[in-house]
Amino acid sequence: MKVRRFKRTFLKELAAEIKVARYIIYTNILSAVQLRFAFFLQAGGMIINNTAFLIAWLLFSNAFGSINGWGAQEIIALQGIVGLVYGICFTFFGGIDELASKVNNGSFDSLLLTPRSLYLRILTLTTKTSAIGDMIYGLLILIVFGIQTNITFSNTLILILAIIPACIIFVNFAFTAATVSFFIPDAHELSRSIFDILLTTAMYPGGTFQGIMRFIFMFIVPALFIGSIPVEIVTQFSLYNLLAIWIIALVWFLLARLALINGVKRYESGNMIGAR
Amino acid sequence: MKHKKPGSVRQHIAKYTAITAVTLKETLYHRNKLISTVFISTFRLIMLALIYKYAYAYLGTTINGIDQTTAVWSIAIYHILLFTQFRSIFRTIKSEHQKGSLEVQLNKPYNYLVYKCFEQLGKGIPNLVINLVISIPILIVLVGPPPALTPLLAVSALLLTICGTLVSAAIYACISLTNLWIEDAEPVFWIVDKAVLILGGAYIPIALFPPRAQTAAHFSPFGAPMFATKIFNPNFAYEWPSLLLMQVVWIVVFILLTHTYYKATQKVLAINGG
Repeated sequence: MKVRRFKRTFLKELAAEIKVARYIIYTNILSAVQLRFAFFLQAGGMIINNTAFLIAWLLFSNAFGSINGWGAQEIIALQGIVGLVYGICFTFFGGIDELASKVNNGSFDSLLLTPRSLYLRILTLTTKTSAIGDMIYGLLILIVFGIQTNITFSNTLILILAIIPACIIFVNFAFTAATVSFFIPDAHELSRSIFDILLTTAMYPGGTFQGIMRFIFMFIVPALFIGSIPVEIVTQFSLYNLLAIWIIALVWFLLARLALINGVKRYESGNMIGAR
Repeated sequence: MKHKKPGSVRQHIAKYTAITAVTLKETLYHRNKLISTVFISTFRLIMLALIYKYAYAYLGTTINGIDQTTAVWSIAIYHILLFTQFRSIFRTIKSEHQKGSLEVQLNKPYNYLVYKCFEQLGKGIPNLVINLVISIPILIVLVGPPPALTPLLAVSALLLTICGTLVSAAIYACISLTNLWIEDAEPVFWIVDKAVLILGGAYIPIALFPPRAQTAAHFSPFGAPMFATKIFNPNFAYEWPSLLLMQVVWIVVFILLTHTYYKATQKVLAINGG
């Protein structure tokens, strides 16, 4: 009886949290799109910007051919997935980019007063306008990849099943990196650097990561889980990899929550005065 | 006592180098920022070195006469020289325009764009030096020492570096002014910056490009800031006079363009009153 009541309350709470988060995200996106010209410029510019990376790695592939089964198609899929993951995370959960600076300048106090989940409140603080461009770019590139490889319906489902945990890992790694600012003063740049390690490595073709490098970038900095492993899951399906990516996503979600709880305990108010 | 004419070349140089000196001190003071910038750049370089090391070992041969050591050192030069470039002035000008502090600076007795370039030098020099000190030993351990250079080739490369810095200053100063014309000029910066990134050889040395892309890198202004990355190419000795000529052409073109653009911008500038 108690368990059932707990379950009902928990699910109700969760639904309420998601409803609020959804509303905030919706408002964030609306405000990002408000300045039409700037929005189209940012989104369009970002698509061109990302295409540059695609060209760079296609030139690499042109010079070296296929490395460990990684050729031009895999690179296209990788750039598409990383672009999509980045776009989804910073469109819907752009707050991860703000956490470190908020802790640093003392404006984190106002977030502590939120009656809802602090974790979700931080994540949904803002939307990065250019990330919408990343999302569109990712989708376009994945459509190209799908057409090139005659992707089947089941493979599309597998791709979605791999992208969801990749997003969870990406958001929670960035979140954990940002919580460094709770423990080290003025660590905004440091947390940015830790995040950059993930992002930079995620964009490199997975075929070149073997042995110890592969282990490090799977289990210490989960960069390969952001792009390369999802590509490998789609191109050469492996249940082991699919299971692994979901487990790693769960681990990073728990790590981020743990880092936040401990970080908040250590947080000292900056006494910053401001109006909200 | 002989009085110097106000605004003499020597005075101008003293004024702008003083700006560099002050920014240099400021950059050295913010150690966290300095360390993290150098750290991420070095990390990126190590990753690329490892990728190329693996790719060459997998391939087991050279490409277009370029071996693993040459390829990695070419990319390394790009990433090290990135700190001599003027990318940051775009965001500085953007931020000053948004805050409204631009008007104060425009009324000061200096050329605003030249000021920003010298300021950027002060920010870039510590990063460049630290990066050189850290990256070179790491790369020597990872891929071996760079191919040997004759003193003449080294001087030629230095000349290309200096001219490349000037091309970069002119290009970024020019596109920075776009901030004062349109609501959000960031996408313009992204496009130019990524063109420099690809045609400069940040991820793949230009010698490994297909022939058409190599021609584009040679003749476009976006390849010119990083011509020094070609120093280890087998035909560098024959190529460098034409590279230098291209750089000089782009310096002249972009300085003229920036000057005209700057004059036009001053006329249309709307001050936010910050």
